[in-house]
Amino acid sequence: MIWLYVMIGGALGTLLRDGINVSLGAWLKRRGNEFPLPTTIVNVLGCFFIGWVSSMGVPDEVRALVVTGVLGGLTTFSTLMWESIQLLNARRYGTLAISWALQFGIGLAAVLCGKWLNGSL
Amino acid sequence: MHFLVKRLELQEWQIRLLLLGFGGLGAWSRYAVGLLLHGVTVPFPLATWVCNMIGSFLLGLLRMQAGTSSRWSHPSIQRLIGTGYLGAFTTFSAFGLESWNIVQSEGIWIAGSYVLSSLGVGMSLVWVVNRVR
Repeated sequence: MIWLYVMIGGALGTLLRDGINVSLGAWLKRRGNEFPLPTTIVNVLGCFFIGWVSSMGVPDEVRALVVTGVLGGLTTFSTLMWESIQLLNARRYGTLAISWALQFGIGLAAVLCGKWLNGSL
Repeated sequence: MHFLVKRLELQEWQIRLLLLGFGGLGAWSRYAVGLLLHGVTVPFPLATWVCNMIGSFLLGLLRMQAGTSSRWSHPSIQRLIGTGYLGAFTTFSAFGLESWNIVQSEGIWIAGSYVLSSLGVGMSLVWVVNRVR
């Protein structure tokens, strides 16, 4: 039944991401800001929590629900790729560099932060 | 499905309810790919990499339909399949966690090849989709 936990978690994580997309997206649009902030936020947050939860030694069901499900549903690689290509096409190299620095730099470091919180570094 | 959305003119709460289903299916598909490719390493684990590449390619195709007269262009379809299914099918958190796990198990070079090939192949696939149409 592990797959059911994955599905439920994935559904919840996706809804959370969509909520952040919609609310933050509307706010950014009002300000005329085109930085891919929603994707950056969900990916960095997701990285921190996956480092934290995966190093807790939780049961398989909880891992399926939270790690594979919620955090997998919350974070996205496809939108990161799409937005990166759009920034490249628009020649907005500075914005792309900041977005990558935040997601690949701070995001990957956040995994370690999460692990460190459990003393498993 | 276009027909469905068009005819029903879905309310916001209905879209969110459907998003639960699409997100759940996307995560389930990623889990299924994980089972299929369990233990397949090249030399890094292949499952998440494959999901991220396929998902990025398909999202590129989908987003190229936005603003056209295609049946895939409807904002609700874009949101349900783009954010919902493909968003849940691909993952950045597992990518981040695996990157560090590979550093520990296989060393920095293999981990680097995992990160760079995800980035390089993912960007190339979307770039090609952007150019072709």
